Amino acid sequence: MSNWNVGIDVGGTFTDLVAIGPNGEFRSTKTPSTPDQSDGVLNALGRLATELGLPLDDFLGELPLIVHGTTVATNSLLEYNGAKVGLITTKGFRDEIEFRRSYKESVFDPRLKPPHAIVPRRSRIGVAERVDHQGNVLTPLDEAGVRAACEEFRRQGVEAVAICYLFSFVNPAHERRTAEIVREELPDAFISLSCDVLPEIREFERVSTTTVNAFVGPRVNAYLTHLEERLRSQGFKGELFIIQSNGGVLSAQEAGRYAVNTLLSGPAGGVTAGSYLGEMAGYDNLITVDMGGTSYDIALIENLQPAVTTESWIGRYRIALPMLDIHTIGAGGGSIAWVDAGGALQVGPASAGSYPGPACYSRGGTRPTVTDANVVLGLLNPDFFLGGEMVLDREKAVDAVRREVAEPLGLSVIEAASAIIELVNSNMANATRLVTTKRGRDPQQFALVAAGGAGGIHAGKQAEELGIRTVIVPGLAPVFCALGDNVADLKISESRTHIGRVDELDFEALNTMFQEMEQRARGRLAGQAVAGNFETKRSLDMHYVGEVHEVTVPIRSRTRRITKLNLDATLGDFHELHERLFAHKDPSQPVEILTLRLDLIGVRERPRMIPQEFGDEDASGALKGERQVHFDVEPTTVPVYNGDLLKAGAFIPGPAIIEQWGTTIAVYPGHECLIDAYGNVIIEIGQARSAAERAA
Amino acid sequence: MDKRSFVLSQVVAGSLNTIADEMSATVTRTARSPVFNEAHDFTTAIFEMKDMKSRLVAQSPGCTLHLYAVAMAVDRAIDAFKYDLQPGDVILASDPYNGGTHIPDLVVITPVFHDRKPILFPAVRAHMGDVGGPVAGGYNPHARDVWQDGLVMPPVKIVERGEKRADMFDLIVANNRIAHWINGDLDSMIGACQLASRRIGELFDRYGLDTVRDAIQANVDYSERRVRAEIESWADGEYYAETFVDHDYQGQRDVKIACKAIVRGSDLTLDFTGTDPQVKGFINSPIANTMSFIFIGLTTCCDEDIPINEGCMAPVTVIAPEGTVINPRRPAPVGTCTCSAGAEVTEAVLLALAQCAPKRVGVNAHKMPLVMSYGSYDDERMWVFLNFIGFTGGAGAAYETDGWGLYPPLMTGVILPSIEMTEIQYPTRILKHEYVADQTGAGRWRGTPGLETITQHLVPNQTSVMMEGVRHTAKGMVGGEHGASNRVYLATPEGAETEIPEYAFMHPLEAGGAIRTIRGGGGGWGEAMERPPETVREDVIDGYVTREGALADYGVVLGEDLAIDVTATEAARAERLARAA
Repeated sequence: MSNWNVGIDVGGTFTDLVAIGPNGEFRSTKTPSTPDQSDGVLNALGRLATELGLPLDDFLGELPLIVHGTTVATNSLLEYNGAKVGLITTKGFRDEIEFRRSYKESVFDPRLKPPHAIVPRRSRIGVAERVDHQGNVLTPLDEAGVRAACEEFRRQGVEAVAICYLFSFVNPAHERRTAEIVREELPDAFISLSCDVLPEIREFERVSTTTVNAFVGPRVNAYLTHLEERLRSQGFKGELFIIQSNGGVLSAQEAGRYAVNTLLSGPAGGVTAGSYLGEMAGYDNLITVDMGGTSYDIALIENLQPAVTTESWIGRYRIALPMLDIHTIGAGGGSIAWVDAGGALQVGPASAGSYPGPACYSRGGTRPTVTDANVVLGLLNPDFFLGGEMVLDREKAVDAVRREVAEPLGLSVIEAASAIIELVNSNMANATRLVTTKRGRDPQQFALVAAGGAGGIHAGKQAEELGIRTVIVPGLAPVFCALGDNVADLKISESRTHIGRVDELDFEALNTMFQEMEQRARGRLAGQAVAGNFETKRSLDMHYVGEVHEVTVPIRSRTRRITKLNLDATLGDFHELHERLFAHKDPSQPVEILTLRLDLIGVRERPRMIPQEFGDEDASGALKGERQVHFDVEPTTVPVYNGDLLKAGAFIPGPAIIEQWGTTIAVYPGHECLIDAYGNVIIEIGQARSAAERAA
Repeated sequence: MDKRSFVLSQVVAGSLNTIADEMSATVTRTARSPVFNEAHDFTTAIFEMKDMKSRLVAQSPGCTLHLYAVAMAVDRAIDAFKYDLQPGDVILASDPYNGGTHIPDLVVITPVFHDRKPILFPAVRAHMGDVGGPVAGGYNPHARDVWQDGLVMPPVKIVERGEKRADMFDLIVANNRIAHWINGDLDSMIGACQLASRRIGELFDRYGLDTVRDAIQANVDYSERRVRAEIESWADGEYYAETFVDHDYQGQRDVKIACKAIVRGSDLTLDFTGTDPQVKGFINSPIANTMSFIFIGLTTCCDEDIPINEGCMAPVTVIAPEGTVINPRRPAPVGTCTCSAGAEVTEAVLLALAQCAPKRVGVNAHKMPLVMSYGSYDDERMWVFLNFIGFTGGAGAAYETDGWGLYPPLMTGVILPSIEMTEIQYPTRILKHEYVADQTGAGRWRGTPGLETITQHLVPNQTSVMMEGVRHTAKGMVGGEHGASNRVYLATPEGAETEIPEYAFMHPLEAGGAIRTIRGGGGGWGEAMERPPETVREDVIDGYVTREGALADYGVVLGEDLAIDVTATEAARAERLARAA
């Protein structure tokens, strides 16, 4: 039993578990999520143990590792129920977090409300101290001022203290000393230091990230401690790891110290699973999309490496840490279709969620949703939702679409439903296009991985619109994030700002700094027994002098030092990357380095799925019937297959519908699909139709 | 309309806005001058040529005050090259009297062809760090004509059939103090237009020309319907308001901007008759700039989800008498029009509309203390420091919303440069950047708090200060109080401060001298005496308002322990209301 790996992802609706056995066998379970997320985790583990015919204690006792994706940090930020935070800044600069560099989400709306203050002004205290951009102390730290701030925080009942001084990324001494004093004065407080959380230039980005870390830290810590205690009391002796926003995993203890790194703990698993799937299925460049009930998550994977960004906003706060670049729009099965004041059809961003849910759920929802439109058009089978665990009411869907869309627009119900689907597909395709083109890439060079319950119905159409040739619907699509938890490597992302022109660099200083970063990263990974091999990846944020945004350029050298030789090569890469991303380059311009980045990756042995022998092309053994589907306004009679019975090698020309537990896949006219050796549905998109359209 | 038209109008609009977003992402990341790339003082948009006139069809939210002016610039560019536009051409212009605003704002436009006809025009307008002319950075308060503002560029081709015109680049660079900025900025704007040109070509290939044009029309019609519905909800009538620019830098004070809003059904006329004649100094607002500021005033009164395009302006007739400060004749100087008198144009529109649509108006004006410092590095290279941190602020209140953050919405596309970046890029140290209590317009909802900043330059420099919002501060609306005065002090290294009442031109500052600014907050909305005492108390706890301010501005009496003295508060408020009556 000792070689089972378990990944558990807690989502808004379900807690998913994927376990991989010693011989590559896969098990998955889905149980409802619970208010105390640890209940759902224990339930899922209990179900797996039962399936394996073992008492939970025995199963847990042998389990070496659980990797967990949790939404505790995300929820506490989005619902603004984190810790009571106090913030200490350089005197004269306590309002940067409220100024937000003047940024507002709407430039035309004077009625836009401010974001919830996670640290109100009364809890922001400036302390006299100042360091210049070279690290020289201009004003020594006012230690009495720090103690006075602590006194005020004590009076206010502050649970977490964030500390962020100007230029602490050059000279952190004042921040560290402040932390010592806070630790003496407020021994129970969670402390978040900007020189630890994000030792990078730009004070607003740093203070926002550091404060969010303080805000979510105590909640995440409490949850992880509680979960670990419960697991231990059930006999678990292995290691508990948490998946991070950068796609890597870390021990629960490390994860708790830098809780801000777990804000994307949920969706990160899906992206990681995407690159695992790509490796297995033979596609290096992928766009993963996850369409659930309320949102549509898009991420890019190039050469099996998920794209990373430092430009995220979550819950209206700026998080400048390297995170998987997951772009989310409000489009899902529950997205509501409505006709606005000017008579235009809109879909989303409001969602009916699970409660009351789409009209066809019969839970009291009356507004038409994307799921309702899919039911109306016959794309979804009302009798086979969640494998038949839930019966949908087609009449309610028809009523809702008629009342709220068809009649106001003077369309038939089918036309209205079809318009809803076309519009949501277009919204998703536009968002996907922007994600790829922002990186100077063309979506046509990618395969589309469609996960999430609703992904399989819409992927074919979006692929057509984006000129994508291949869609992959993973065999484990409904539990994709939990699969990713199983295969993610350990990963620490370190960064340090060090500014200098490339032609004036002090190589010694640069190498020392990289060594320090690596040591610190290794320290943070020490003590775990999961990964044996370590890889380091170094990169430099560079720009032309005067530019204020940077390009992260990987240093493509195996040597552990930065040398003239490999720096020149990196500089060449910078010019190329700059041209790719921004349509121009100028090798005659001076180039500056801003920030050093180092990823330390603890490589886990990835479990191998067992490939199935390719069998007959004939899929008729899985045929379960036929039905009328409106791919456009006109109906077509199409065969319906039971996905759970399809064997590797089966070939299905479109149009067809494949129904499997947790997801439905539409194979559109002109497309064709193949079941691969790992149970993934690979859809080839016919480009003939759109080419003909273009010619016409 | 059939189903396809419903869907396609949305799909094409989505695609065009996505293209404008891509342009914006490109210039944000590639431009070189900090005012452009870090502060985002630019806008990207797409225009359609329709009946020999250009109209706005898509945009990416940027610095909104550029937006509508670009349409006029595209018109002039088309006029200039009517029979001589080729695929691959890129046009540049900055002439304030040919669709321009002030001279540092360059616009770059490219025509996108279908079947040999130019159809769509993606464009970028951006504020450059320098554009030559008599004063670095482009603000010359002594200007007596537009040529003293700077180098006027009529529409010229800087790229011809895809080839850069080296002679035009040389001309521009030769007239610029910071060559490596302007080169990079131009490349960046051209790159964004070329990217958009490719994308639009793909759109034509995909849907065909007629479909794209029909979809654009459907969207423009849609926005028009929405704006008409909004105007229709306002009571018919004539609503007059006037506001003032402090001075014109040439000795004339209290320059009047008058606006009469005439609401008839779903039509709105904005008549600026009664506005003062054009002035000697550089506050004159050329018509393109005036239209931009009118556009902002109107759109902020409408629902936030209405697509921003030409349809928004279709219900509006503007009467802007020629020869006035809001529609001057060449060669009146216009250097500071994007601050004043532009801000006062929006303010006059909103003050007029406040009388028929009080819950829609937010206080939008951005009267600022504009401070610029000039110096040289050891190697004689020049630096120009536009003091963003000193003037970014002043958001007003709106119905159910206290002013917050820094800028009012019309400027929030402009991002404040990072202090740490600033200290690395310039020989400069920022010593303070914080809200200051009691310096904002009180009201049922109050303006964003005032702001105090201290900037120290570590080398000798010359500093110019242009004061606005001293005598005529950000206006309160619907009974709200006006914001506090802007103030700027120049200090010697020893700390002796001199207040600058109106302006200072190239004032020499020694190394270590400082510039202190107090930026008045925004105007309030509604009666200050109606703000709940508990909310005022919260503001006191947060230090936005002092105890003294609570009494003076809100009639709220707080004890030493900040407990509300209910009886004394009621008495203080009753007394004030009586006095007001």
